[in-house]
Amino acid sequence: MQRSAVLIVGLLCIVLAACVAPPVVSPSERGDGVVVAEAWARAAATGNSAAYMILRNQGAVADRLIRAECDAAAAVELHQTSMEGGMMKMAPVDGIVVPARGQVELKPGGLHVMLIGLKRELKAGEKLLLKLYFEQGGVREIMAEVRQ
Amino acid sequence: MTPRVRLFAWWIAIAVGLLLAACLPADHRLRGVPYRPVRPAPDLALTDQRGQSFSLQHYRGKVLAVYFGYTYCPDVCPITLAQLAQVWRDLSAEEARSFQPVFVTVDPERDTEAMLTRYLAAFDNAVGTDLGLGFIGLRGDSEALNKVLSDYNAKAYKRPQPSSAIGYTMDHTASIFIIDAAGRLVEWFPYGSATEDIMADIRYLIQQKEGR
Repeated sequence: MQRSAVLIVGLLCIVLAACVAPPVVSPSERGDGVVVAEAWARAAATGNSAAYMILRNQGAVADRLIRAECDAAAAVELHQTSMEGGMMKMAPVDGIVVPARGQVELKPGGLHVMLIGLKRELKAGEKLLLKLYFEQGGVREIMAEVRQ
Repeated sequence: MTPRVRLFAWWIAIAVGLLLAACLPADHRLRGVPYRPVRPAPDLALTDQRGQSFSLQHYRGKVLAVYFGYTYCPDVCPITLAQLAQVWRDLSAEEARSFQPVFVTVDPERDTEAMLTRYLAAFDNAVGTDLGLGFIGLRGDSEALNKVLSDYNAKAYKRPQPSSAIGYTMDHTASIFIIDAAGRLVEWFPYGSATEDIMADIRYLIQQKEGR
């Protein structure tokens, strides 16, 4: 009798827990499957700098990095550097698409988060807080290591 | 001389020639893109970040690496200057005195003397040793700059970026030009060249000058 009471209470708990807990939704459905890896920013005394990272999308839905924020810079934009016939060109881009189950590398000489008008020196070794805004996944805060 | 003796004399001459060739230092093949023929380096008639007028004449005896860029460039320019800082740091103290990197701004509008000073100090710090004047930053009015660009067959174009806080960017040649201790333009390195290749040539050109 005592044993079956425990069993009933236990079952009730499981049923209640199932009702209270939010429905399980896979990251791909929420669109926040983007993982940020190997984030770093270039040390700079003045002017501008850039941050680089790998954006890995583990979800089944493509996402897009639409903008970024950083307290150390007056403005933060998404830019792309390209080389054409020995000429270096740089221009803003309208977001960076991270394909479903794919990845995009922001790296020197290519896509980068441009930090415009540094408000302070970025010294090698320090960590820099960046806020990344994704179209699907919302805002993500990451720490980028400052390197030479 | 009989034909036989003459033939023998030729063989001796060839053998002596080969021996001599073996004694001479092995020829260093430049790893950048060589100028053929090498030519006197066109002057850089501009002023440095201290407001002093610059002349290549004063740098005979040093190997120069000349790079065109602008301080608002967050990416390709610092990468290249960091490479040159690494080369400078890795040279022996003696060799380091015979090397001089030069940054020519293609954006004199924003790159004032003060801006160049602050910007280049970061690369001096990366080298760390006694550098004399350190990285030299050159600027000039558009006429002087255009003359230098054209002499070096380099290009720079202003590109308005109305949607960006940066206002405008500069498209520019991103190569490194190497001038030897005799003031000759000997080669250039395209952007993305390996630091060790630049290092090897700089060291070779410094040693050439010392007659080693």
